[in-house]
Amino acid sequence: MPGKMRLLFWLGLALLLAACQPYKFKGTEYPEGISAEDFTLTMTEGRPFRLSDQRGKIVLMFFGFTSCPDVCPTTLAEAKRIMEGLGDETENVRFVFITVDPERDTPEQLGQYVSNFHSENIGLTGTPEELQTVFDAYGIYAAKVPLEGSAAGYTMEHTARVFLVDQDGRLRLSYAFGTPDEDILQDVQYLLR
Amino acid sequence: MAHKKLLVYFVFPMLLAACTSSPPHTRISVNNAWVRPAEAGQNSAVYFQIVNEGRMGDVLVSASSSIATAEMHESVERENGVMGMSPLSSVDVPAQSEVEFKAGGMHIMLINLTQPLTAGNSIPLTLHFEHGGKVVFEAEVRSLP
Repeated sequence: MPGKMRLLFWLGLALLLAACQPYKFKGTEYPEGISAEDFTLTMTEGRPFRLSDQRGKIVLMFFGFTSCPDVCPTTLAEAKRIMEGLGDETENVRFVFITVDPERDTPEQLGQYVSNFHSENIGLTGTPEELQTVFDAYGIYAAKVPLEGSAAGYTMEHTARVFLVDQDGRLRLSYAFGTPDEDILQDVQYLLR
Repeated sequence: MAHKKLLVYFVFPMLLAACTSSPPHTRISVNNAWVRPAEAGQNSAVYFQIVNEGRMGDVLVSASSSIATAEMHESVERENGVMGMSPLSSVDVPAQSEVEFKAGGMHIMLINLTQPLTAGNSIPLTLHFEHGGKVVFEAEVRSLP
């Protein structure tokens, strides 16, 4: 019996210690306090979207294009799972998809593309200059690369990270392409607490 | 008695031989095929595993579809989290191996779909192999593997 008691004691202690550990974010953290560069772009139905108007909500941002068959849909499918995993808290999170290919992505196409994954998704576009300002602010690389002999014409090589802006408008975390959606969901749920 | 001997020395070995008959040079199958939902006029991607149970390697040389232009592509990570895409001219499928086409990697890109791809439906796709010839299969439309 004393052996069992001792085991219980150590097990309990280990559990307590684990509970005291500060939460470790799954994403790559930005230094505390960095405020996300504000911007205004256009939503697919024509209304403006200003980042700083989203205070109180968590904004997940991804940069992509609608002719993208693999990387962008993979991320959008993950975003859908995150939104579904949030349940009632979905309303406190916005998923924003910013086009890197304004030449081909008409607002209509963009709207259809993003809402096919989740009805609450927001597609954003703007003039090439407006978009470039946002790319620069968030360190987004986006370049047109011709695909020789392909019916696709050209592809866009682009930064494929997901960025998280918290409820206070601070750029807090970013996630590499392929990060499991459970990891992002966990971080979002922690920040919503 | 003679009959029995015949059975043991002739028929039985023949039966055995039939069971262990050597596999054809390439034995290719395509499993777990799925394709992402998309609207008509848009692009999509098909994913699957190619299994070669044969004793000889084969080479996937092209793909074709009746509802879009089909090309073999691979998503590749460049530097600093930048993703790009490269066309593939062929894909080796070695003997006794499995080659996976998956999200964020190799895929068949469907360009300019003539019809929408709606979850729950299936579409036929054809892969062309250098030795094995055509392999036709169905890919189920869904948003996740």
